[in-house]
Amino acid sequence: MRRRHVAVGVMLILGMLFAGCTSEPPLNGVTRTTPLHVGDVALRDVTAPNDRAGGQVDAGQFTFVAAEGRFLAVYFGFLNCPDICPTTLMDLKVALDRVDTAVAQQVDVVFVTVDPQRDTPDALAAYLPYFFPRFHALREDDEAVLQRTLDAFLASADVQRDTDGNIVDVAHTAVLYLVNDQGDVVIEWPFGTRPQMIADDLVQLTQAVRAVAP
Amino acid sequence: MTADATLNHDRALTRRLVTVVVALAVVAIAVFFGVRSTADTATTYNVTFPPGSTLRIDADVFAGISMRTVEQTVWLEFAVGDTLVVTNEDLFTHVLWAIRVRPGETVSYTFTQPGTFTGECTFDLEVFLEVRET
Repeated sequence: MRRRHVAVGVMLILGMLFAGCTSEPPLNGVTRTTPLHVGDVALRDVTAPNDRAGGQVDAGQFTFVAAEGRFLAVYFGFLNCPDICPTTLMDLKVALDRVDTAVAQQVDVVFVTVDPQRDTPDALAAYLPYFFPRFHALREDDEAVLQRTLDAFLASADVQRDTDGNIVDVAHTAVLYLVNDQGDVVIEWPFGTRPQMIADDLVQLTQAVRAVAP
Repeated sequence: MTADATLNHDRALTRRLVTVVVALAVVAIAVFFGVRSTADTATTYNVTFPPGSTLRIDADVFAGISMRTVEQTVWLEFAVGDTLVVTNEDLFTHVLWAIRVRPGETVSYTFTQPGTFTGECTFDLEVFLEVRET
């Protein structure tokens, strides 16, 4: 009897100790009390069928809502970017390589070009497979539609031209977004967030989704 | 096994369990106070974009954030564990570094890693953050 009491006591104390040790660490990106909702905007998806990841594509239009229980990793960039874009894409690739396959498979990569004039569908199809086996390449010629999408993400992009109309510079928001199956941005990773930090957040966020799955 | 032997065995087991529990409790207390002392050294910086976009880049506005400016570039310094809270009381979306804040919104970001990070500001400034280890 005494041994049982001791065992119960030990269990209670251990339970109390570990209860205090199991709180989730803080996420490494920007989170908001009221998340950005981007599920109401759509852009033209120019991904070749063999390259296409999961997600909602209807009549060639991609809606920023992940499939049920999944996430979209969304990035706005351009192929001629010499540093920020390839670094961010590589950081995401490394993060996805570091997490378990089950976690990585819950994430669909979406690249939105902010330089549609130069980033043709063929150019996107040639570039993105260097980073990801499956993806969505979004390219929108209609500036107003692209701007609406940027606004929904609180992002910006500015293509600067010389007097002859040649593109000389492209400035854009350097943030990687994660969108859930409700069309809400659940986290924003600023440029420079390390791959391991992204990986840690992906594990935490995907686990949270799996935990509430029926 | 005799009754005495059983009793001694029980006592030895109890002593062992008590030792383990005490050791775990000591570790837990040490961790608790360790975490608390780290949290105590972390600082929360509050930056507000007031109505009319009249935020000025100077030390007063940035509520104690160590900073320096070189022409159109601003360097802000933080330590790992610090939190930056940005509030927008203006009618338009504003951005400080990589934190974009809608009108009426407050967004906070805790620095979890050291390094140098680039970003921007509403007022055509390039913003660099230097985050150092504590």
